[in-house]
Amino acid sequence: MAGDGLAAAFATHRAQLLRYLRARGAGEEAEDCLQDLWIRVQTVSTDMATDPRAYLYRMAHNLLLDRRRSEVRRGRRDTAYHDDVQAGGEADEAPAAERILIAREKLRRVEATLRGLGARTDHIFRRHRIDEIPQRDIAAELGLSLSAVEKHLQKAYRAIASLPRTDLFAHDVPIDGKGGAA
Amino acid sequence: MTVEDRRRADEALDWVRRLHDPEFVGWDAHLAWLEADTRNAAAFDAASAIVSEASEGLQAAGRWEGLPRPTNDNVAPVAPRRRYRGSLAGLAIAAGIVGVVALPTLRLHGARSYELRTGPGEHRSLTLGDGTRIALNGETRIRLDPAAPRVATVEAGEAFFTVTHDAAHPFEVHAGNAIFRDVGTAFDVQRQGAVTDLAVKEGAVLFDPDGAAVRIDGARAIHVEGGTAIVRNVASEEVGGWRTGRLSYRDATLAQVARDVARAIGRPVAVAPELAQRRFSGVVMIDPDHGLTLRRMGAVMGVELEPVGAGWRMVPPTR
Repeated sequence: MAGDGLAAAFATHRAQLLRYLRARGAGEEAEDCLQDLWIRVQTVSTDMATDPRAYLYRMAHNLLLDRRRSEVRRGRRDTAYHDDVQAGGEADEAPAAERILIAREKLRRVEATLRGLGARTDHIFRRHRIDEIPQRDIAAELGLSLSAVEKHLQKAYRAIASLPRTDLFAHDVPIDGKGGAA
Repeated sequence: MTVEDRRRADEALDWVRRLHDPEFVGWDAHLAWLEADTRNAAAFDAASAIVSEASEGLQAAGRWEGLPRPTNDNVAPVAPRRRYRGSLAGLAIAAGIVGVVALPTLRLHGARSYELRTGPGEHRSLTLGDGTRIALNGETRIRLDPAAPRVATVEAGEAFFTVTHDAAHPFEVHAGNAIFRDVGTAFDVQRQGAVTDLAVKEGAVLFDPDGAAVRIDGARAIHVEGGTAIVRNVASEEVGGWRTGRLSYRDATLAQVARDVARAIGRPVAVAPELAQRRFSGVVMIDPDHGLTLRRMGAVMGVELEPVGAGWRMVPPTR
């Protein structure tokens, strides 16, 4: 079945979704994003979407994440291109090999940081972030309260966020517009 | 960083955590926070990018099995984890393990590319931003990536493409290892296991555009299996006929016909081994009444269709 329920929900919440996209800083792109969202709405099966409104917001959020990611990738490609040009147009394998090393080093640091927080926190962070298990289910699996799981996660997020930016974004364009790589 | 910036960054980070939960529903509160200060959106994006970057390559946790053995730094590194996000196959595995994951949320969650699928017997069509139209036959999966809007991947099943031609940005269809590039086209792509079939209705398609660059014009079809590709003639009016419930064949095997009919009606159609390679030329009309479809088909082909489980089986006539 095509997503009639979702399409109807889209019509109902259209203005609010546009407002959300604008609030997320989509600016002039907002209308464009909404159009993209509409295309996706028409193509997903909704028989399982119990809360169409939350589902639409989730789609809008994912759309923005997609767009940010391709911006970063584009930035990376442009940076690589400029590096090549500055090196006299002679692209070689070194930058790629170097990037792999940097990525491994980054992963090693992140893993060490998580390990340093204790096995539970490490597990809960990966269970949430990588396995994408709802926090409520993680709590049930571990016999913890939801707020205990949230505390573990907050601890892990803070530890990750306070890693030196150079460890995370060695080859990236600034992400906050004021030299995040510095 | 001022105290205010620090507080903003902390709040942003906590929103990233909350939104990452597949069951998150606090969108109104999130919107209110974003609108409270125009700088909050940038802080949220920055926090989101940091956590994504840091999570890249981390291993999945799996179910908790007690405290791990003491870690040994000399242990060989585990093969890179297949990233779940954006991969429906991966998500399906994850869902299989825990059995309680809400699939609709996961299907889209953080997906860079996304998958469109149809159920058995279901048809669906969509129009891409460039005007390219894609019609999906039953039991079909295709993958689209907003970052690469001129590429569609047929993962399984059958789809008919009516491409808006743009010489500067040719449209590509990927199926397994096969790559097809449009030269102004309407064409049909079918993927069954490791076999890919493409038939051109109008215009032309380049197969393996950066290698052999085989041009397939209208009323031609190509069959790609392993390292070989065979080009043959087809009637262009037959190409994509499934969209109107009309399946036309010229010298096709009954196994092929059974597969197409099964996809069209959404029920399994088996073929007795002794019939599988028998040839058929003609038209099968798909009727909403499946029983009628099969009776007609049996009459046209000179076979009997006996009910088996949820579907049918083609057997030689008993008389």
